[in-house]
Amino acid sequence: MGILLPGWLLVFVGLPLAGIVAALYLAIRLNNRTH
Amino acid sequence: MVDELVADYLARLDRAAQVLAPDRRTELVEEIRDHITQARASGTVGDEAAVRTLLDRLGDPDEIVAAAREGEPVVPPAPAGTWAPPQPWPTRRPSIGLEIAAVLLLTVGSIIPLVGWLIGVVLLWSSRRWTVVDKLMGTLIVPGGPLAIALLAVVVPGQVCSSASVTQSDGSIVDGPTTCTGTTLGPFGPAILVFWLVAPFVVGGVLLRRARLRADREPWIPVAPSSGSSRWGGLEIAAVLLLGLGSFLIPVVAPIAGLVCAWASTAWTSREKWIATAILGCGLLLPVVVIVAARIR
Repeated sequence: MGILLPGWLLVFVGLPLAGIVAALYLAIRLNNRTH
Repeated sequence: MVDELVADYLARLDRAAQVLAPDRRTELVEEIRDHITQARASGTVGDEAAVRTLLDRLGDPDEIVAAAREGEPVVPPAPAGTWAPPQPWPTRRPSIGLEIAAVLLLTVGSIIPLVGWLIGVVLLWSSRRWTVVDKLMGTLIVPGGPLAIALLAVVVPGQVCSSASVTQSDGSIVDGPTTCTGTTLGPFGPAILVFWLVAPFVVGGVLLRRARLRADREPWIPVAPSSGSSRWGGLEIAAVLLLGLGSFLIPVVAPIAGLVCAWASTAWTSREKWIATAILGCGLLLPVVVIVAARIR
Protein backbone atom coordinates (compact mmCIF):
# COMPACT_ATOMS: atom_id res chain seq x y z
CA MET A 1 0.00 0.00 0.00
CA GLY A 2 2.82 2.32 0.92
CA ILE A 3 4.30 1.86 -2.53
CA LEU A 4 1.04 1.80 -4.46
CA LEU A 5 -0.46 4.93 -2.92
CA PRO A 6 1.93 7.50 -4.46
CA GLY A 7 1.52 5.97 -7.90
CA TRP A 8 -2.25 5.91 -7.56
CA LEU A 9 -2.35 9.52 -6.41
CA LEU A 10 0.03 10.50 -9.18
CA VAL A 11 -2.01 8.99 -11.99
CA PHE A 12 -5.57 9.56 -10.83
CA VAL A 13 -5.38 12.76 -8.83
CA GLY A 14 -2.28 14.85 -9.46
CA LEU A 15 -2.05 14.47 -13.21
CA PRO A 16 -5.74 15.04 -14.01
CA LEU A 17 -5.92 18.11 -11.78
CA ALA A 18 -2.75 19.51 -13.32
CA GLY A 19 -4.13 18.69 -16.77
CA ILE A 20 -7.26 20.72 -16.05
CA VAL A 21 -5.24 23.70 -14.84
CA ALA A 22 -2.93 23.51 -17.87
CA ALA A 23 -5.90 23.19 -20.25
CA LEU A 24 -7.69 26.17 -18.69
CA TYR A 25 -4.50 28.23 -18.80
CA LEU A 26 -3.92 27.52 -22.51
CA ALA A 27 -7.59 28.01 -23.39
CA ILE A 28 -7.90 31.36 -21.64
CA ARG A 29 -4.59 32.65 -23.00
CA LEU A 30 -5.57 31.77 -26.55
CA ASN A 31 -9.08 33.09 -26.11
CA ASN A 32 -7.83 36.45 -24.85
CA ARG A 33 -5.52 36.74 -27.84
CA THR A 34 -8.16 35.96 -30.45
CA HIS A 35 -10.49 38.76 -29.29
CA MET B 1 -28.25 65.24 -41.23
CA VAL B 2 -25.20 63.06 -40.78
CA ASP B 3 -27.27 60.41 -39.03
CA GLU B 4 -29.81 60.51 -41.84
CA LEU B 5 -27.08 60.00 -44.42
CA VAL B 6 -25.79 56.93 -42.59
CA ALA B 7 -29.29 55.56 -41.99
CA ASP B 8 -30.18 56.03 -45.66
CA TYR B 9 -26.98 54.26 -46.76
CA LEU B 10 -27.58 51.33 -44.41
CA ALA B 11 -31.22 51.10 -45.54
CA ARG B 12 -30.09 50.92 -49.18
CA LEU B 13 -27.54 48.28 -48.24
CA ASP B 14 -30.19 46.31 -46.37
CA ARG B 15 -32.51 46.42 -49.40
CA ALA B 16 -29.73 45.39 -51.76
CA ALA B 17 -28.77 42.54 -49.43
CA GLN B 18 -32.21 40.96 -49.71
CA VAL B 19 -30.74 38.59 -52.27
CA LEU B 20 -28.47 37.12 -49.58
CA ALA B 21 -29.34 34.52 -46.98
CA PRO B 22 -30.94 36.13 -43.89
CA ASP B 23 -27.93 35.42 -41.64
CA ARG B 24 -25.46 36.71 -44.19
CA ARG B 25 -27.60 39.77 -44.82
CA THR B 26 -27.66 40.67 -41.11
CA GLU B 27 -23.96 39.98 -40.82
CA LEU B 28 -23.09 42.18 -43.80
CA VAL B 29 -25.18 45.16 -42.65
CA GLU B 30 -23.78 44.88 -39.11
CA GLU B 31 -20.24 44.69 -40.47
CA ILE B 32 -20.63 47.89 -42.48
CA ARG B 33 -22.48 49.58 -39.61
CA ASP B 34 -19.55 48.73 -37.32
CA HIS B 35 -17.04 50.23 -39.74
CA ILE B 36 -19.03 53.46 -39.96
CA THR B 37 -19.43 53.61 -36.18
CA GLN B 38 -15.71 53.06 -35.65
CA ALA B 39 -14.84 55.74 -38.17
CA ARG B 40 -17.15 58.26 -36.54
CA ALA B 41 -16.01 57.33 -33.05
CA SER B 42 -12.39 57.97 -34.01
CA GLY B 43 -13.24 61.63 -34.59
CA THR B 44 -11.72 61.77 -38.08
CA VAL B 45 -15.14 61.50 -39.71
CA GLY B 46 -17.25 64.12 -38.05
CA ASP B 47 -18.92 66.53 -40.46
CA GLU B 48 -21.26 65.82 -43.34
CA ALA B 49 -18.59 66.08 -46.02
CA ALA B 50 -16.38 63.55 -44.24
CA VAL B 51 -19.29 61.15 -43.85
CA ARG B 52 -20.14 61.46 -47.56
CA THR B 53 -16.51 60.71 -48.40
CA LEU B 54 -16.55 57.72 -46.07
CA LEU B 55 -19.72 56.33 -47.65
CA ASP B 56 -18.31 56.89 -51.15
CA ARG B 57 -15.20 54.98 -50.21
CA LEU B 58 -17.23 52.15 -48.77
CA GLY B 59 -18.79 51.83 -52.18
CA ASP B 60 -22.20 51.42 -53.67
CA PRO B 61 -24.42 49.04 -51.65
CA ASP B 62 -25.10 46.99 -54.78
CA GLU B 63 -21.37 46.51 -55.31
CA ILE B 64 -20.85 45.48 -51.69
CA VAL B 65 -23.63 42.92 -51.98
CA ALA B 66 -22.22 41.66 -55.29
CA ALA B 67 -18.83 41.12 -53.62
CA ALA B 68 -20.51 39.33 -50.72
CA ARG B 69 -22.34 37.03 -53.15
CA GLU B 70 -19.00 35.94 -54.54
CA GLY B 71 -18.19 34.59 -51.09
CA GLU B 72 -15.42 37.04 -50.44
CA PRO B 73 -15.06 38.74 -47.07
CA VAL B 74 -16.14 42.32 -47.35
CA VAL B 75 -13.31 44.54 -46.20
CA PRO B 76 -14.09 48.12 -47.14
CA PRO B 77 -11.16 50.34 -48.05
CA ALA B 78 -9.98 52.61 -45.28
CA PRO B 79 -10.69 56.28 -45.91
CA ALA B 80 -8.20 59.02 -45.17
CA GLY B 81 -7.38 59.09 -41.49
CA THR B 82 -6.34 56.48 -39.00
CA TRP B 83 -9.65 54.89 -38.02
CA ALA B 84 -8.89 51.49 -39.52
CA PRO B 85 -5.53 49.82 -39.96
CA PRO B 86 -4.36 48.97 -43.44
CA GLN B 87 -4.74 45.26 -44.16
CA PRO B 88 -1.64 43.99 -45.91
CA TRP B 89 -2.34 40.44 -44.73
CA PRO B 90 -5.16 38.05 -45.56
CA THR B 91 -8.01 37.94 -43.07
CA ARG B 92 -9.84 35.01 -41.59
CA ARG B 93 -13.23 34.39 -40.05
CA PRO B 94 -13.19 34.55 -36.20
CA SER B 95 -13.29 31.03 -34.81
CA ILE B 96 -15.41 29.77 -31.91
CA GLY B 97 -13.09 27.03 -30.62
CA LEU B 98 -13.50 28.08 -26.99
CA GLU B 99 -17.27 28.05 -27.29
CA ILE B 100 -17.25 24.59 -28.92
CA ALA B 101 -15.01 23.26 -26.14
CA ALA B 102 -17.32 24.79 -23.51
CA VAL B 103 -20.46 23.21 -24.97
CA LEU B 104 -18.74 19.83 -25.38
CA LEU B 105 -17.67 19.88 -21.74
CA LEU B 106 -21.10 21.02 -20.51
CA THR B 107 -22.77 18.13 -22.33
CA VAL B 108 -20.55 15.15 -23.19
CA GLY B 109 -17.94 16.23 -20.62
CA SER B 110 -20.37 15.56 -17.80
CA ILE B 111 -19.46 11.89 -18.19
CA ILE B 112 -16.66 12.82 -15.81
CA PRO B 113 -18.66 13.53 -12.67
CA LEU B 114 -18.77 17.20 -11.79
CA VAL B 115 -15.23 18.00 -12.96
CA GLY B 116 -15.94 17.89 -16.72
CA TRP B 117 -19.06 20.00 -16.31
CA LEU B 118 -17.27 22.48 -14.00
CA ILE B 119 -14.52 23.06 -16.56
CA GLY B 120 -17.27 23.68 -19.12
CA VAL B 121 -18.81 26.29 -16.81
CA VAL B 122 -15.45 28.06 -16.42
CA LEU B 123 -15.02 28.17 -20.21
CA LEU B 124 -18.66 29.26 -20.64
CA TRP B 125 -18.20 32.24 -18.34
CA SER B 126 -14.80 33.14 -19.81
CA SER B 127 -16.26 33.58 -23.32
CA ARG B 128 -17.13 37.10 -24.45
CA ARG B 129 -19.53 35.93 -27.10
CA TRP B 130 -22.32 35.01 -24.72
CA THR B 131 -24.48 37.36 -22.67
CA VAL B 132 -25.05 36.86 -18.95
CA VAL B 133 -28.47 35.37 -19.80
CA ASP B 134 -26.80 32.87 -22.15
CA LYS B 135 -24.28 31.97 -19.46
CA LEU B 136 -26.95 31.54 -16.80
CA MET B 137 -28.94 29.36 -19.18
CA GLY B 138 -25.87 27.21 -19.92
CA THR B 139 -25.10 26.88 -16.22
CA LEU B 140 -28.59 26.22 -14.89
CA ILE B 141 -29.84 23.86 -17.62
CA VAL B 142 -28.92 21.55 -16.06
CA PRO B 143 -26.44 21.71 -13.16
CA GLY B 144 -23.99 18.84 -13.41
CA GLY B 145 -24.74 18.21 -17.08
CA PRO B 146 -26.93 15.57 -18.70
CA LEU B 147 -24.84 12.58 -17.71
CA ALA B 148 -24.88 13.55 -14.02
CA ILE B 149 -28.19 11.72 -13.89
CA ALA B 150 -26.25 8.47 -14.18
CA LEU B 151 -24.20 9.42 -11.12
CA LEU B 152 -27.36 10.42 -9.28
CA ALA B 153 -28.89 7.03 -10.03
CA VAL B 154 -25.90 5.34 -8.42
CA VAL B 155 -25.75 7.61 -5.37
CA VAL B 156 -29.47 7.90 -4.69
CA PRO B 157 -31.23 4.48 -4.49
CA GLY B 158 -34.51 4.08 -6.28
CA GLN B 159 -37.73 3.53 -4.38
CA VAL B 160 -38.45 -0.02 -3.21
CA CYS B 161 -41.79 -0.81 -1.53
CA SER B 162 -42.77 -3.92 0.38
CA SER B 163 -45.58 -5.11 2.53
CA ALA B 164 -45.77 -8.03 4.92
CA SER B 165 -48.82 -10.24 5.46
CA VAL B 166 -50.38 -10.01 8.90
CA THR B 167 -52.38 -12.83 10.58
CA GLN B 168 -55.34 -11.39 12.48
CA SER B 169 -56.91 -12.78 15.69
CA ASP B 170 -59.69 -14.58 13.72
CA GLY B 171 -57.10 -16.41 11.65
CA SER B 172 -57.53 -14.42 8.45
CA ILE B 173 -54.47 -13.12 6.63
CA VAL B 174 -54.43 -9.55 5.34
CA ASP B 175 -51.77 -7.34 3.77
CA GLY B 176 -49.95 -5.23 6.29
CA PRO B 177 -48.90 -1.59 5.81
CA THR B 178 -46.69 -0.90 2.81
CA THR B 179 -43.28 0.52 3.64
CA CYS B 180 -41.11 2.22 1.03
CA THR B 181 -37.41 3.02 1.10
CA GLY B 182 -35.38 5.18 -1.27
CA THR B 183 -36.59 8.13 -3.31
CA THR B 184 -38.79 8.66 -6.33
CA LEU B 185 -39.24 11.51 -8.75
CA GLY B 186 -42.99 11.17 -8.56
CA PRO B 187 -45.42 11.01 -11.48
CA PHE B 188 -43.31 13.42 -13.51
CA GLY B 189 -40.22 11.22 -13.16
CA PRO B 190 -39.95 10.18 -16.84
CA ALA B 191 -40.50 13.77 -18.03
CA ILE B 192 -37.83 15.06 -15.62
CA LEU B 193 -35.40 12.41 -16.80
CA VAL B 194 -35.97 13.24 -20.48
CA PHE B 195 -35.59 16.97 -19.75
CA TRP B 196 -32.40 16.33 -17.79
CA LEU B 197 -30.88 14.31 -20.61
CA VAL B 198 -32.06 16.34 -23.60
CA ALA B 199 -32.26 19.98 -22.46
CA PRO B 200 -28.48 20.54 -22.05
CA PHE B 201 -27.89 19.40 -25.64
CA VAL B 202 -30.65 21.73 -26.91
CA VAL B 203 -29.23 24.64 -24.90
CA GLY B 204 -25.74 23.76 -26.16
CA GLY B 205 -26.98 23.96 -29.75
CA VAL B 206 -28.64 27.33 -29.11
CA LEU B 207 -25.48 28.67 -27.43
CA LEU B 208 -23.27 27.52 -30.30
CA ARG B 209 -25.55 29.14 -32.87
CA ARG B 210 -25.54 32.43 -30.97
CA ALA B 211 -21.75 32.31 -30.60
CA ARG B 212 -21.36 31.67 -34.34
CA LEU B 213 -23.65 34.55 -35.26
CA ARG B 214 -21.87 36.93 -32.92
CA ALA B 215 -18.44 35.79 -34.10
CA ASP B 216 -19.51 36.36 -37.70
CA ARG B 217 -20.37 39.96 -36.89
CA GLU B 218 -16.86 40.58 -35.59
CA PRO B 219 -14.31 42.03 -37.99
CA TRP B 220 -12.25 39.44 -39.79
CA ILE B 221 -8.90 38.92 -38.13
CA PRO B 222 -5.72 39.74 -40.05
CA VAL B 223 -3.43 36.72 -40.29
CA ALA B 224 0.27 37.42 -40.47
CA PRO B 225 1.79 34.61 -42.56
CA SER B 226 5.02 34.57 -40.60
CA SER B 227 3.64 34.68 -37.07
CA GLY B 228 1.71 31.42 -36.90
CA SER B 229 -2.01 30.98 -36.83
CA SER B 230 -2.64 32.30 -33.29
CA ARG B 231 -6.19 31.04 -33.24
CA TRP B 232 -8.41 28.12 -32.33
CA GLY B 233 -8.11 25.19 -34.68
CA GLY B 234 -8.36 21.41 -34.49
CA LEU B 235 -4.93 21.08 -32.91
CA GLU B 236 -5.67 23.65 -30.21
CA ILE B 237 -9.05 22.12 -29.35
CA ALA B 238 -7.42 18.66 -29.22
CA ALA B 239 -4.68 19.95 -26.89
CA VAL B 240 -7.17 21.49 -24.46
CA LEU B 241 -9.53 18.51 -24.48
CA LEU B 242 -6.76 15.95 -24.07
CA LEU B 243 -5.20 17.90 -21.21
CA GLY B 244 -8.47 18.73 -19.48
CA LEU B 245 -10.61 15.67 -20.09
CA GLY B 246 -8.25 13.01 -21.39
CA SER B 247 -6.41 12.78 -18.09
CA PHE B 248 -9.51 11.18 -16.58
CA LEU B 249 -10.24 8.85 -19.45
CA ILE B 250 -6.75 7.75 -20.50
CA PRO B 251 -4.39 8.54 -17.63
CA VAL B 252 -0.83 9.57 -18.50
CA VAL B 253 -1.19 8.97 -22.26
CA ALA B 254 -3.84 11.64 -22.92
CA PRO B 255 -2.18 14.53 -21.07
CA ILE B 256 1.13 13.76 -22.76
CA ALA B 257 -0.65 13.69 -26.13
CA GLY B 258 -2.26 17.01 -25.17
CA LEU B 259 1.13 18.51 -24.46
CA VAL B 260 2.42 17.21 -27.80
CA CYS B 261 -0.52 18.90 -29.55
CA ALA B 262 0.14 22.13 -27.65
CA TRP B 263 3.81 22.12 -28.60
CA ALA B 264 2.94 21.29 -32.23
CA SER B 265 0.57 24.25 -32.39
CA THR B 266 1.78 27.68 -33.42
CA ALA B 267 -1.10 29.39 -31.58
CA TRP B 268 0.72 29.54 -28.26
CA THR B 269 4.05 31.15 -27.49
CA SER B 270 6.96 29.09 -26.20
CA ARG B 271 6.52 30.73 -22.81
CA GLU B 272 2.89 29.61 -22.60
CA LYS B 273 3.84 26.09 -23.66
CA TRP B 274 6.55 25.92 -21.00
CA ILE B 275 4.14 27.17 -18.33
CA ALA B 276 1.58 24.49 -19.31
CA THR B 277 4.32 21.87 -19.23
CA ALA B 278 5.46 23.08 -15.82
CA ILE B 279 1.88 22.94 -14.48
CA LEU B 280 1.61 19.33 -15.63
CA GLY B 281 5.02 18.60 -14.09
CA CYS B 282 3.80 20.05 -10.77
CA GLY B 283 0.83 17.71 -10.97
CA LEU B 284 3.23 14.79 -11.23
CA LEU B 285 5.42 16.00 -8.38
CA LEU B 286 2.72 17.16 -5.99
CA PRO B 287 1.56 13.70 -4.82
CA VAL B 288 5.17 12.65 -4.35
CA VAL B 289 5.84 15.72 -2.21
CA VAL B 290 2.69 15.07 -0.18
CA ILE B 291 3.68 11.47 0.50
CA VAL B 292 7.28 12.33 1.36
CA ALA B 293 6.14 15.12 3.68
CA ALA B 294 3.68 12.78 5.41
CA ARG B 295 6.37 10.13 6.00
CA ILE B 296 8.87 12.64 7.36
CA ARG B 297 6.28 13.91 9.80
